[in-house]
Amino acid sequence: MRATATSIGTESNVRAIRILLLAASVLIGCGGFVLFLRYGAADGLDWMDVVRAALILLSTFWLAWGALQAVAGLTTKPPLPPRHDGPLKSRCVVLVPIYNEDPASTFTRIAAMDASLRRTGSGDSFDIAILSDTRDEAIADAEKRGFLRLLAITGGDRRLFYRRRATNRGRKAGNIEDFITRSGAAYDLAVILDADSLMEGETMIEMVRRMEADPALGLLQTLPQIVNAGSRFGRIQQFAAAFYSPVFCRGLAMMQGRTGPFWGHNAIVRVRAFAESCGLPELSGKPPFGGHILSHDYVEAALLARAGWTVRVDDDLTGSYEEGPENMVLHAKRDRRWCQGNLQHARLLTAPGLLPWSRFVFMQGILAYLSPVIWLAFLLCSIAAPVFAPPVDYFPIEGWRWPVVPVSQASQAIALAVCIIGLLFLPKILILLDAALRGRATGFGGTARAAGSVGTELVFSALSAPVFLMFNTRSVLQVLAGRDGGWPAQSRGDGVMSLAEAWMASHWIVMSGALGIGLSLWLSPSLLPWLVPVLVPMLLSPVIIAWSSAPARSHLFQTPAQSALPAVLLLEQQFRKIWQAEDRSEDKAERVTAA
Amino acid sequence: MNDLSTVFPSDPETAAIEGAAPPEAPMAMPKQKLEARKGRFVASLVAVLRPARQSSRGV
Repeated sequence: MRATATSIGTESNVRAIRILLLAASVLIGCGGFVLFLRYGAADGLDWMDVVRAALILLSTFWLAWGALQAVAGLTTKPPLPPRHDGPLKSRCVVLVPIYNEDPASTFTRIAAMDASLRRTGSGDSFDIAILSDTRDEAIADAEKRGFLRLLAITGGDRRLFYRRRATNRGRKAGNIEDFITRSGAAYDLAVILDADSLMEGETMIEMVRRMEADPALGLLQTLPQIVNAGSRFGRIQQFAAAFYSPVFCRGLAMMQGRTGPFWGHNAIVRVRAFAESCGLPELSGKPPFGGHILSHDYVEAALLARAGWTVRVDDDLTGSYEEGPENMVLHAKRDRRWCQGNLQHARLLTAPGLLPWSRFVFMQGILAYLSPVIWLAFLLCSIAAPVFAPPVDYFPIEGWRWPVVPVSQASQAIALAVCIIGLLFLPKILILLDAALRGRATGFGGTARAAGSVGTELVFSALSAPVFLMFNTRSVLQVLAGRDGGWPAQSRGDGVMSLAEAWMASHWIVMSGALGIGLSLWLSPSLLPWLVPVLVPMLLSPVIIAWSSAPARSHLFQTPAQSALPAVLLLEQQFRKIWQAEDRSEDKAERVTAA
Repeated sequence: MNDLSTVFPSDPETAAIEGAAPPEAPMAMPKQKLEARKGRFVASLVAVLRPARQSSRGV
């Protein structure tokens, strides 16, 4: 109905890229399958070898799919999307849903974005609405006082709005829906943010220009960069998001067609399209698979595409920021929610009318969370394999008096391991080379420092991967067991964890690692050297968690946003100072009154 | 009963917050259908296996 030929490339090109990358990933997966079967067949093929080979096929396919996306991102460049330079015609609103957040942090960010919008000269086209779902009464009172201060600081009366819902039905998606059903007709476009989002006014204006230039565009997503990270873990994540993600995102942009992604925030939607297409029902049954749709963003993107609207991510849009978790435990907690949300999408794979790519995106999300479980299953099967293996037959030829010793196929296993490590590391190394050759590394402190950051990040990834594998597996098992994770408020802040706190959060991972070593020594001692890269980080998980949560002091992991602080972040810092000064003067006034 | 709200105005902070609500401009947001009817998915998969069928009416 609405989709027209736009700058996103013809559908046939998009289909060709998708088929090519999918076929290549399947081929690599099959390669892993065959290599493992040949390794397993050395001492006679048994059913456990076939199971493990199948698990390797799935895992290798998934790794290859990610790696090839990066290769596509490095080798292609999407054409510039349509835009216009005239005055803005649309009424726009910036929506900031909040839920038990620190008002000082949220409102100073809003003040910064308001100021940034006004600097563009087109700020009159925008209102900002703070949509509170806060349940904590003390925080709600602080929000109200904070909002009045926000109005006083910005002079934003009649362009800054605040409302608190009586119930938080439908969570964030319900919060947005509540706004649209009450106030949606007042606006053409809505920028949807998270409480920790920050966007340059210029970026929001550019998004509006692109939306106005393409009437079929229902949603435009930006790639937010992580900012304000202070811990070692936060800085590594911030670096990875700035250095690798744009390339992966460009790869995704090449495959999106008109079914691009929505990540729930730092995006702009056409209000009418969103209202017509994205009213989310409650799923039948109880959580975690029934009830409210948790990861609503993917579903909303699929519904917009189903209704004929284009959903697009423009990887060239800069000036879009968010904050990230400051330690591994907070990261794992956030992942618990996302895990439940993505596994819940299994219910929607057969939803009527969805485009095939939307269904594939749901499958991708599910596989992203099942992939670590598949790896763990592979490791456990490998430890247990000798129990199921038939005894070696040294006299397979009847009448032949001399024993036949099976030829070791360890080279096949080594080749497979090298391929898997290559799939994990090669995209990042290619991105480093590309950044060095094209000069992008300058923003990351130069080629040498960027190389140091990538090398350290690879080591940290290798150490933290087994820990996340365990957290992830626990999340999947909890969801499959029917345990609902609820809707915990996002924990923000410095996130420093002592060794004792890290132990409390991860002692079960240490126990699992010790159990893994014990089982391996008992059942298959020859496997132990292969398991060391997984089991040792598990044993060290409290140390890894505590160490990575400490404040970062290294010169590594520099990002462009740190080298030259973006204007909206400078504004945020200024408003934070003003806010703190107001806090101090209020305290003083209270003390005087009390005296 | 006399309306005393003008004599004893409510808390100015609360009034300011109430006045800061987003504009009243309702827009319909119909609930979408997301769950396939039971058995429908399997039926659609096996539909291609059924022999071609022509309507016996209106020929």
